[in-house]
Amino acid sequence: MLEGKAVIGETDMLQTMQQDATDLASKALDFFDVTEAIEIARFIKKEFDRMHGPGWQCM
Amino acid sequence: MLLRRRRFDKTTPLATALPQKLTHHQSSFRETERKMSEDAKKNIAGALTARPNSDDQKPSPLPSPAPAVPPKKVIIKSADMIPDMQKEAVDIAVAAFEKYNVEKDVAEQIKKEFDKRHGPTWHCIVGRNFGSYVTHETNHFVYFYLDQKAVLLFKSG
Repeated sequence: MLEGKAVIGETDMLQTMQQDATDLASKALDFFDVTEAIEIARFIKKEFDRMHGPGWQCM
Repeated sequence: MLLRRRRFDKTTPLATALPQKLTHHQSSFRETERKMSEDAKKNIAGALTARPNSDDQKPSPLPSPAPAVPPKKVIIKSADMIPDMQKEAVDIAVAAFEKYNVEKDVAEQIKKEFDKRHGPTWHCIVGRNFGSYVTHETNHFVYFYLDQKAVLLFKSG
């Protein structure tokens, strides 16, 4: 598991969903190298689409 | 309005694939920037070897004065948008960069202007280094560089 603390900059989201986002980001950084920006974004977007319905965007 | 997906699954015959509502797009500014800088080096080297100095290439004695603000270098990296709208996006972005220094403010200006001109809901990301994976309406996506900044503009929702 990647060491480090997620810092929420700005949010308009349920606490549980924020936790999902940071967990997925952490998991993505375990799966992919930090330079693989597209793969990380794709992973988070597709997982959120699956968990919370379609229409998510990730940068 | 029919919308389409750019890529099809290998197992799906192209003829039987139905038009999709949304298109997926991915981009990474840093990676493309690195590739481009390598290409630029090659081009510069080529130019140096292909164009040696000669008398007929000397500048004229009275060169025209350079403009105070040099025009920004525009490179459309990827687009699913009519050319007129692409030009509009670039023009709005250029104006936004002249007005604001902060990337967030530039993005806000571009997004609001496109919402006003072409209806909601547009999304805009401006930056030097980001990767993305987004879903957009067909014919409503553009990704371009203005000098060293990348602009991602698309409609969704």
